[in-house]
Amino acid sequence: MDGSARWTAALVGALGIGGASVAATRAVQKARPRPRPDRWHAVTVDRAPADLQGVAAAPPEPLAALGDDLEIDLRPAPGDRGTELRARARRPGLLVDADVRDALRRSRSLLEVGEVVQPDEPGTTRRTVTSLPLELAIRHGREGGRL
Amino acid sequence: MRALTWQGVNELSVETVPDPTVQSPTDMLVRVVRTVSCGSDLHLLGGYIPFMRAGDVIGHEFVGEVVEVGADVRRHRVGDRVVMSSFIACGRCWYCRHEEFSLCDNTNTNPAITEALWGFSPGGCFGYSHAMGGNAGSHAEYVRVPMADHTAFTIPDAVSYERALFASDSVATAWTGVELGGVAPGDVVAIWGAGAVGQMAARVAQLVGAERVLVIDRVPERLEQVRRYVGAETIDYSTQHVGSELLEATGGRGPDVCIEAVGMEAHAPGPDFLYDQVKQQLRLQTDRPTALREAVYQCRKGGTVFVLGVFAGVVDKFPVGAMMNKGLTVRGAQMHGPRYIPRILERMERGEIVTEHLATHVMPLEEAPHGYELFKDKKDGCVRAVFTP
Ligand SMILES: NC(=O)c1ccc[n+]([C@@H]2O[C@H](COP(=O)([O-])OP(=O)(O)OC[C@H]3O[C@@H](n4cnc5c(N)ncnc54)[C@H](O)[C@@H]3O)[C@@H](O)[C@H]2O)c1
Ligand SMILES: [Zn+2]
Ligand SMILES: [Zn+2]
Repeated sequence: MDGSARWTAALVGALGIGGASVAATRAVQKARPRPRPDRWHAVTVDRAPADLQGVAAAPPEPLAALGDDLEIDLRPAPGDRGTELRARARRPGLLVDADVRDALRRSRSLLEVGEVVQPDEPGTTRRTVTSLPLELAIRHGREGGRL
Repeated sequence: MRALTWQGVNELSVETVPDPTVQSPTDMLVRVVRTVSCGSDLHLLGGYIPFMRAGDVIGHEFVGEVVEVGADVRRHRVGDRVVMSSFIACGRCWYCRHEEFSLCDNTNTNPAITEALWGFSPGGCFGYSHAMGGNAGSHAEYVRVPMADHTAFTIPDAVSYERALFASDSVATAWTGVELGGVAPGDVVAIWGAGAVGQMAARVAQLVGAERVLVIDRVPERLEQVRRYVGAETIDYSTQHVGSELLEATGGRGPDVCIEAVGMEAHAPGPDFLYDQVKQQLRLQTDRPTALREAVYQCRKGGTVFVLGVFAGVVDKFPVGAMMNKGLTVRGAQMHGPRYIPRILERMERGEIVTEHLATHVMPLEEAPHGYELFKDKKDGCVRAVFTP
C-alpha cells in the first residue's frame, strides 16, 4: 500500500464503511507479496500515440516537476484504447509512489482536456473533531487509492 | 448566497456560503431555478456514505439560467435555460467517448477514495460527497458547472423548467437502467421501487416497447401515481404476494428484466429486515440488499437484473447461486446523463414523458430542511421535494 492508500484505508476503516471487507483486504494484503519496487505506474490516455509524440521529451508539468529522477515510457494501448503513459523512479526509492501516481493522473487530465478539474474555491466546509481522516484523504485525493 | 448544507448525520441547515465563480474557461455559472431532493441524498443524510464534511452543499438534480460563461464554453450563452447532468462529464476521455459518462476519468477531484473502496474511481457528481467528486451541490442560488459544454443541455422552448428538472437525474437514471438492462419489445419488466426513479424506469420501459411493466412498492400514493401517470401495473408488497403476482403476469416464466430502484436502505416485510439492519449497524454489511435479493430470485432464467439503486459497499447473503445457475446477467451503473438527456428532452417536448406529478412539494430553499423531512419519511404523500432558490 503506498503513501496515500494508507490515508484512504485509514479513512475507509475509521468511518466504518466496508469495515469488514477492508479489514479482510488488508489481512490478505499482509500475507501476499509486495509490488515490485521497480514497477511502472501507468495511466492510459485517450489520445493516439502520434498525438503524444512529444510527451516523453517534454512531459506535462506535473511529471516534469518530478525532475530527472523520473523515467517515462509511452506505448500504444491495445485496440482503440489510446496510449499507455508509464512512469517510475529511475532507481527504486528515488521518488514517492504517491507523487508519481498523482502526477500521472494530473497529466492525463491535461493531455485529454487541457485542465485538472478543481472543486469550488473557497470551499463551504468547516473543520470538526471527526473530519481529520477525510481531510487527509482529500488532501491526497489524486494519489494512489488501491489497497 | 444561500445554500442547503449537510451539517452531520440527519442534520441539514440553510447557510450563507461564498458565491461560486467561473474558475476555469470551461466552467459556467448557473442561477438555479429549481433543484430537487433525490433518493440518493437520503443515503448521505443517513450517514451511509460517510464522505461528507460539515458545510458541504448537497443536491444534484437541477435546472437554471446561465448567468456567466467561461471563455472556452461554446454551446451555451448567458440567458440560456439549461438542465445539468447530475454526473459531470469531461466529454474527452475514453469513457466519455464511449458514452459511459458517469465513469469519466477526469471529473472526480478525489479519485483515490473510491479507488480504495472499489478498485477504480467513477466520475464526479454535483453535491454527492467528497468520494463522488467533491463538487458543490445544487441546493443553492448559484452553481458552478464544470465542463459546461458536456454537462449542461439547453432546454427546448416548449419544455417547462418544471418538466425538464427531472431530465437531470431521475429520467436519465431510468433510461440508463432500461437501455443497459437490455429491455426489448415484448419484454415483461418488473421494477422494485415506485420513487421518481422507479416510476420513470417504468415509463421508459414502455417507450422502448416493453409488453408489460409492473412496479413493486408499498407506499399507496406512489403506487397510485404509477397507475395514473405512467399507466403501468402495480404490486403492493405489503398486501400482495409478489412472486405469485409476477408468475401470473408472465405465464410462469418470470420477468425478463428486473430493475432495482430502491437502494441500500431497502425496507423488508419479514425477519430479514431486522437481520440486515443489525448487520448494517454493526458495519458487517454497509448496505441492505432486500429488493436486490428479491429481484435476483424473481428474474426469469437467462434474464437481466439491473441495479439502479445506490449501494456503497458490501452486502450479505447475495444470492450468487441463483445468479450463476439461472444464467443471469447482473449489471448496475450510475446514470450516464449526457447520453440520454437530449432524447429525454425531445420526448418531454412531445409529451411522451411527463414528470410534473413527481414534484408533490414545491417550496423556497429556506424550507429545504423541512422538505427533506417530508421526503425522507414519505409524509404527506411526498414523492419529491422541489426547492426554488
Ligand atoms: N444509478 C443512479 O445513477 C441513480 C440516480 C438517482 C437515484 N438512484 C438511486 O435510485 C434509488 C431510488 O431513488 P428515488 O429517488 O426513486 O428514491 P425514493 O427513496 O424516493 O424511492 C425508493 C422507493 O423504494 C421503496 N422500497 C423500499 N424498500 C422496498 C422493497 N423492499 N421493495 C420494493 N420497494 C421498496 C420505497 O417505499 C420508495 O418508494 C435510490 O437508491 C437512489 O439512490 C440512482
Ligand atoms: Zn439522484
Ligand atoms: Zn470524461
